[in-house]
Order: sequence, then C-alpha cells, then structure tokens
Amino acid sequence: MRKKIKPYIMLIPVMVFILGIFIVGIVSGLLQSFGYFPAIGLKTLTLQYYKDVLSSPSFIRALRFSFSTSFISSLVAVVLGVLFSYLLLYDRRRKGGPLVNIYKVPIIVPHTIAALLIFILFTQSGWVARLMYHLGFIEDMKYFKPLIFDRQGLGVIMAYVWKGLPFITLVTFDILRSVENKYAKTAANLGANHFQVFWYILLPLILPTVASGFIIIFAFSFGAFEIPYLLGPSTPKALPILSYIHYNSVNLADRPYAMVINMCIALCGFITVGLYVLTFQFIKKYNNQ
Amino acid sequence: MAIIYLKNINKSYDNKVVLKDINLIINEGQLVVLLGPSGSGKTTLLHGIAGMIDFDQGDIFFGDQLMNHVSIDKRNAVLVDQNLLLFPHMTVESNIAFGLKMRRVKKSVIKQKVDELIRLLELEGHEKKYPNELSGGQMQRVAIARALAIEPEVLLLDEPFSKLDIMLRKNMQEFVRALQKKLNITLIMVTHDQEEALSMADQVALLLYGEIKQYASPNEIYEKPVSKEVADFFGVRNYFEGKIIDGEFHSPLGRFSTHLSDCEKITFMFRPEQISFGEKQKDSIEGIVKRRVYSGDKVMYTIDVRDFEIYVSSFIHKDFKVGEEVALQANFDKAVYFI
Repeated sequence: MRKKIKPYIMLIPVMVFILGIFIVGIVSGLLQSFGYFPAIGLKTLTLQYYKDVLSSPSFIRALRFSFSTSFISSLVAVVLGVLFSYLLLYDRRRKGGPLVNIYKVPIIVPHTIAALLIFILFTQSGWVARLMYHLGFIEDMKYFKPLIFDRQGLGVIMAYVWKGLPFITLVTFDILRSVENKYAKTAANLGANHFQVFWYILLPLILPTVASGFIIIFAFSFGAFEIPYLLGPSTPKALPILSYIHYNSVNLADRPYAMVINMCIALCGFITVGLYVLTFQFIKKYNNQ
Repeated sequence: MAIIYLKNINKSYDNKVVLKDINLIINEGQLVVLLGPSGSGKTTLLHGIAGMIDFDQGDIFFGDQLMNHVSIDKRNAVLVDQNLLLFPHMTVESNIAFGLKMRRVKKSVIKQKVDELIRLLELEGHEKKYPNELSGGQMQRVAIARALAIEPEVLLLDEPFSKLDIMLRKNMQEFVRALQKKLNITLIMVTHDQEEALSMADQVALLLYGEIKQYASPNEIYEKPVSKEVADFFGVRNYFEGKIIDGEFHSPLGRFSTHLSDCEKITFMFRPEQISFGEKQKDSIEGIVKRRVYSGDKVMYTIDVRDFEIYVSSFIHKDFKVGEEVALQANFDKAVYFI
C-alpha cells in the first residue's frame, strides 16, 4: 500500500506548482467572467457578460478568424508534414545527416522571429514582391497580393505552417519509419504498390500520431497571441487579441469581457484535450499486438 | 515439374559472405525445409525468393520464368514472417482480404474467398476481431490465410512456430502439413529446429555458413549424412576412427568385424540410438557409466571406454546407474562412415 502511494506523494510538490497555477488561473478567470471582481466592487454573479460577448459580432468574427487560421494552418502543416516525412523516408540521406536535420530549424525559432521572417518576405515591399517585380512577373510592387495583415489571415497561416510543419515532420518521421520497417515489405509482398502501402498501411497506422500532432498545433495556434498580433489584420481580430484589448482597457469594468473570451479559448482547449485522449484510446485499440 | 530453381545464388553483406553458390530445385507441391543454425543464411535465402532483397549473383526461376527483376509486389511468393506482422488496424477478414483488395479483385469474389479461407483455417467467429484479440495459434492461421488468399506460386514460412508453446507448435505443424498436402501448394519453410524439419519436410536443405551442405529427404539426411558437419548438426554422435585390415576395423576401442574392404583411414559414425546395451561378447565394447541424463521417454548415457566417451540413448526400461559396468553393441556393417 505504502509503495503504491509513494509515487503520488513524491509528485505532490510539482503537482502543487503545476495544478496550483492552473487551477488558480482558471478559477479566478471563471469568477471574473461571471462578474465577480471585488477589486472594482463587482460582487454579483451574472451571465450578462457571456450574453454580451457571445452575441457580439466582433466576437463571432474573431472566433471564426481564429478557428479558420488555426484549422487551415494545422491542416496544411499536417498534410505537408506527413508528405515531407514520407519523402525523408525514401531519401538516401535518411540515416540522418546535416541536411536532413535542417527541417528542424524552425522548431527552435521563436514565434516572434517567425512572424518577422514572414513579414520581411511577404509584405508588398518584401523580398518576394521585389523578386517578382525584378523578374517581371508584376509591373509594380503594389500589385503584389497583400499577404500580411489581410482579412483571410494568410500571413498568420503561413507563419503557423512554417512553425507547425517541422513539428509534425518530427513527430511523424520516427513513427513512420518504424511502421514502414515493420509492415511495408509485408504489404508489398502481398501485392501492394508504393501508393497502396502508403494509403492502406502507413497512413492509417500513423494517423493517431498525426491526429495528436494536429490537435497540439491547433490548440496552440488557437490560443496564441504573438503571430496574429504581429501579422493579423486589424479586423477581424483573433480571439486572444480581442481578449488582450479588453484586458488592457483603461476601464477595469471591461475585464470580465476579457475573461469570458479567455474562458471560451480555454473551453476549446479542453475540447481538444478530450479529442487528444480519445485519439490515444483509439491507438490502444490495436497497438498491443 | 520443378517450380522453383535457384541457380548459383550468392549474397554478401559488408564483405561477409551470407550465401555461397546456392543451387536448389524445388518441385511443385513439395514442402522443403531450409534448416540451419542462426546466421546460416536461411532467412536471407527466403527473403531473396520473396523479392525482399536482391541477390548479388545468381538466378531465380519460377517455372521457366526468370524472376530476378520481378518486383516484390509482382512476384507472388508470399512470406509469412516469424513475427506474423498482421496489420494491427485491420480485422481478421480485412487482413485476409488485403492481397486480393490490392489486386482490385471484385468485392463479391473477395468475400467468397475470405469465407472459404476462414472455414479452411478454422477461424469462424473471429472474423471481426483485431489481431491483438487473437491467441498465438489464431494469429498464425490468419497470417497463413492472408498469404494463401492470393494463391501464391510458393508459400514461404520463416520460423513460423518458433514463438508458440510446445503443444501449440505440434498442432500447428500438423495443421500446416495437412493443409499443404490438401491444397498441394509448394511451401518453403525456414527453421532451426531439426525435429520440426524432419517431421514436416519432403526435402530438407541443410545450410551451414551460407552453403547447402546436403539436400535430401529427412530419412536420408538423418541416416546418411554426407559429412561430419551434417551429422553433427543432427545431435550427439559418436565417431570411431581407425583402419580396416582383412575385414576387421582396428580402432583404439578394439577390433570389430565389417564387410568393408581394406582402408588406411576411416571414421565410423554412430548415433546414440544406434548403439545398444547387450551381453559381453567378442564384438562388444565394455565401459563404465559416467553420466546419466533422464529426458522423459529415454535416458542419455555417457559411457567411459578407455578414456573415450561414447554416448548411448536408451529407453527407460533399461536403466543403469553411474559407475555400473556395461557392454555395448554397435553394428559396423550398417554404420555411416567417412573416408
């Protein structure tokens, strides 16, 4: 019995630290979102702030913008990441040389630097616009399609793809290699060609890993602040930006609005965690062979 | 008719020779066992036949068709690996149907074939199960069914029973043997278990150090090994060296009558079961029991004869104690000999 309890006892200090910050933050934010903010004299619990926020067109636009940029960037990163992993697998350098490792570089680059790089490359006065102008593809740099601060959030999406793709490649490559080593020849031996091996064997077997990778980068980009702040349009704003504006307002009475938005972001986070857990239950279903 | 012909096959890895001048003819409907210890090259040979690796030299023919450059997915030589490698995300019936699906066979035909194999391999009731819900024997049968579904030219089994317990192994050996005879399929199996090889094979190819040392029927390879190393592989044996003069074999153990003609140097080989305990007489070898190892149905004795050790196996009804004097009989006329 003592042996069973021992690991939990040993984990208490770190769990107090992790859960303490997490729970205090969530509870405090939740109370403020319900209008309980004694510092400015608000002591009555109410759903009014939720009603106001959820019926506000700017919130709906922000939710749509955050969801679409996060979803599209995560999806593109996942598709390209899986294809890139597959190419790496069949690359002669697959044993791992410096070139193979170059794809990992964006992982260690901070998001603000990533935003800066995208900015330098893709503004109307950026390198890509200049290059296209000099090559004669466009008559003037002002004809270069604005990719930064645009309403579709293309700059935001590009930055997230640039950061997400190597992460997906990293988590996918090893599992793809082990699955390939184990099952690809067996499938080919039964008559499957390269595409069939990839489609019927490799992809389904790495799908749980890919799905969890997708969930991780989606949850991150959905709640992240820097990139939409630096590359996003002034309207619609991403949810974290909207929350930041309310939070930073000189009128402290706006604080509950910020907390309502934060709770919405947190709720989306919890939903993605739920999906993550479900994904792993799916993996367990057949990984004990 | 020879269905598979391996001609002068050679293979090396990092300058280490794995297969050397392999020549093998396998007839249609035969069960051939590639027997040998770990590292003898038998799995490499099987993988080469399946098209999983390329040989450095030599040709593979299926019938009169050269298969050297036929890719793995077109070769129709299906390997059942010792790890079985059932696709974990597919049910039993999807695993069995896989090869047919890859060949774009009509769904109705696939269903009919899968049902047929489920019945044949006694897998009824397990169709919807995933591999991790099956027992070892069931997984084995699914792997064989999956291979049989595409009606391969040859079925290749790589140590198929090595991970099964002894009872299940015996059952599966009998099952596979019966299935092979029933369907009249050509089957090549790799094993390091000599008993398994001898009990299942039509022909056994013994591989040692990448070379086929003997290719013969189980009876012949066991009873008439062509060399000492072949004989050694099949277990404990006794070698008596000496010469033959005037119909008598002269050795440090004594003189024994033989029908063989005069010879300056000859080595007789006796397996432990070819030497028996008997009464003291002219041709008997006398010694003292040095060790006694009980192994269920028989006892293995080590007999000390003038500083030589002779191994004798005997059924349990004849029991001798360590230190007891015994007389041994060996028929030199029926023994295998090497000159």
